[in-house]
Amino acid sequence: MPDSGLQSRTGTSGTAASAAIKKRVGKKDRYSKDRKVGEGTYAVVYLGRQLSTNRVIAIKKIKVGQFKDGLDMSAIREIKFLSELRHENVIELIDVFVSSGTARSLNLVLEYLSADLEMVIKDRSVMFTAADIKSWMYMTFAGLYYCHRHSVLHRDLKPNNLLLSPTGHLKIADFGLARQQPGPYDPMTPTVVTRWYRAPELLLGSKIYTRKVDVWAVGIIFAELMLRTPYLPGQTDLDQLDLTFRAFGTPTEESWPGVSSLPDYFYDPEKTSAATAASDPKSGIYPPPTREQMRMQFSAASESALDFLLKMTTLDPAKRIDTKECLETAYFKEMPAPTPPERLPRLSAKNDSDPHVGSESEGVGKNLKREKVDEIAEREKRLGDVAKKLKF
Amino acid sequence: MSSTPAAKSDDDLYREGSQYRIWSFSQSELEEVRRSVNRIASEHLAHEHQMARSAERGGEEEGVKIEYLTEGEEYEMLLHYCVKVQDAAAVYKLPSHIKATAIQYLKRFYLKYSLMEFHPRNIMYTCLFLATKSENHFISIDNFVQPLQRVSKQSIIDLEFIVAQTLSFTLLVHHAFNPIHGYFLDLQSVFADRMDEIRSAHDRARRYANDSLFSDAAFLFTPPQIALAALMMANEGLMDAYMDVKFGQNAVLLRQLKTTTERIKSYIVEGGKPKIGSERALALERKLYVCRNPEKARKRFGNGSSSESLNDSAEPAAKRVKIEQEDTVMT
Ligand SMILES: Nc1ncnc2c1ncn2[C@@H]1O[C@H](COP(=O)(O)OP(=O)(O)OP(=O)(O)O)[C@@H](O)[C@H]1O
Ligand SMILES: [Mg+2]
Repeated sequence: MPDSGLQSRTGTSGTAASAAIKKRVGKKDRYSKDRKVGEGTYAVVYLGRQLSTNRVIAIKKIKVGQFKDGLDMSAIREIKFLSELRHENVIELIDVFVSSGTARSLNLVLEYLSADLEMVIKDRSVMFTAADIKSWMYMTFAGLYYCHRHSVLHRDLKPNNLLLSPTGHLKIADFGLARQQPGPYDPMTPTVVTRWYRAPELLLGSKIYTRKVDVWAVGIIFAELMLRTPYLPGQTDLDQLDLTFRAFGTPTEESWPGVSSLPDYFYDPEKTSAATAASDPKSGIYPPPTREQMRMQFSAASESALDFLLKMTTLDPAKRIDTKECLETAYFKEMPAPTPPERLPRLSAKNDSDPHVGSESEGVGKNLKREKVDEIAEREKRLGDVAKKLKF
Repeated sequence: MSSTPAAKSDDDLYREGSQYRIWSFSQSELEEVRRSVNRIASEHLAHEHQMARSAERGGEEEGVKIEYLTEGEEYEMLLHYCVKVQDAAAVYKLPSHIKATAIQYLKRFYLKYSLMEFHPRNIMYTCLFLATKSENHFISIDNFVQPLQRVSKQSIIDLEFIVAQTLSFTLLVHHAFNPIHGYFLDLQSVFADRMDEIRSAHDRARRYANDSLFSDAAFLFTPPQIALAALMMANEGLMDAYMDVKFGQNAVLLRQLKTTTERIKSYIVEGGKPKIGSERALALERKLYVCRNPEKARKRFGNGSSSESLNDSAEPAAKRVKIEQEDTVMT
């Protein structure tokens, strides 16, 4: 029932009107911009301070040159959603300002978070336990549940977008691809989410999708936390599809009703039907993993951790659990209890002193790339052939 | 770390959002806001004109009395421009929610500035352009200005910053369309045998929700409240039965909802009425032109009528705007 806001008393306190006038475009805070700490595709991030409070902040300056069509779309999305979201596990947007000067630019003032989960995973000198993983997972879902209740899909969850505060709190960041849960006639583009964390419905080209794409991504992050290496590091979209189905089985009409009518589903329906469910790797058809295989792969995982992983990575999005169910899952209730944030492992001093300069981003990915390149080319070719055969 | 997330109601969530925190008013607050915006702008312009005259003539003069727009006239013009947004949205074939967002941006903008400070023509296109982006329906600036006359790309790009800033960067707008759809689905599960009736109520309710855009309803009520009122107007019998099923147990809430929806109806009816005609619009445009450009106006319309186009620039009329754009970063 759409009763959100039905009972809300409208109207604000008596002084709102005069305050609105007084404020006009709002009071202005001033910030210092001390040094550059990172750079993304559409922004440069600086470390700075809010001068009135001396609070350390991050200024995300949207690159100029992106301005031919006015305000940048990613920036608009990020501002639009972060202005609405206030949660312990979602990065705080403190302010937005426009700087003039030679080139006008848009600046997002964010809370400063010196590390992210990717750095922690990659820093070999950091040890972490099952309780630590549970804590990060819990904080991720607490933040994500909140986003989803606000009908906001993040659409780009990955370890590098889960930032960590000095007190160990995890905060979901980087809402540049976020959007509202679409209405029924409002298809979205399927090419979101960094490939490795992309849900199968996206890989198969579904244009109508839901919050469940975020749950999938967190499931893959969970696997990565346990393995300490990216779980499904596909090099191309097709390769990603193949890796995904190798890991979880190729979906069939039985396991996922409707899957064969998705735009990019090219598997032979004959071969994937229940009667002939036999695996046929040559055509990209794999059986679902057995429990024993899962146990071997995730040797440190408890039974309920495995259950949880499988529920988050259920291929059919309709059967995949949602964030509320995730928070209520047995995994979070059993021992060990999640580590309190302030006791979570940190980056080693070397990496923490200047987190954004020294970190070898993509290090792991690159190695994998080199090792696997032949194997991938091979798989690609095979699948490409299958795809061609079935499409024409 | 708590083991269960704090249970928040949907109402709690709505109250956390910017639409409630920043853009909700009571009727009297709304009137006060508009009154002050109008008064401040009039005084400011009067002062500027006075300064300009004395600088020019080197002394005071029995100044020609300039008539500034009243708050009522500003509101008439604002609604007139809301209709223009609707017309423009049709040119780009934009879905209802994008049009609605643009209209709401425009109305919000003019709770901060007077039409005498920023001419609504370019602001209106800027609001529409910004709405296409914030609603994920990108149209390049070239394609956007292509069907428009007398609107430069640069003016939209320049104003986009100002509009976004004036809206305090709160770009997410909730409309009644989504909750109407929610009720539509819920109605079907409650009255499975009344499909046709439900469908036509849904379609008519969407039109009523559209009418509400041309009223202040969105500042005064929540989207689900407006949705309920629109559905009530579309089929009162159906909705009475539905409300009984849903809220029958809670007599107080039921009565409250009925009172609220009754109030909203009057706004929707008002919003659905035809807006000012072209003659009245021209008169107001002219008055607006004069109070924005008293010197030019005197030359142009010296004595009485002229049918010349009122091609007013969208330049901010007051210097204050420049100050607000100043750099806030110190390096
Ligand atoms: N709030 C923050 N506090 C501290 N550092 C940050 C903050 N936000 C971003 N950074 C740093 O700046 C870098 C760039 O951030 P940004 O979110 O713009 O791009 P990205 O996520 O790295 O890349 P992409 O734009 O491709 O997603 C990040 O990788 C991170 O190192
Ligand atoms: Mg990122």
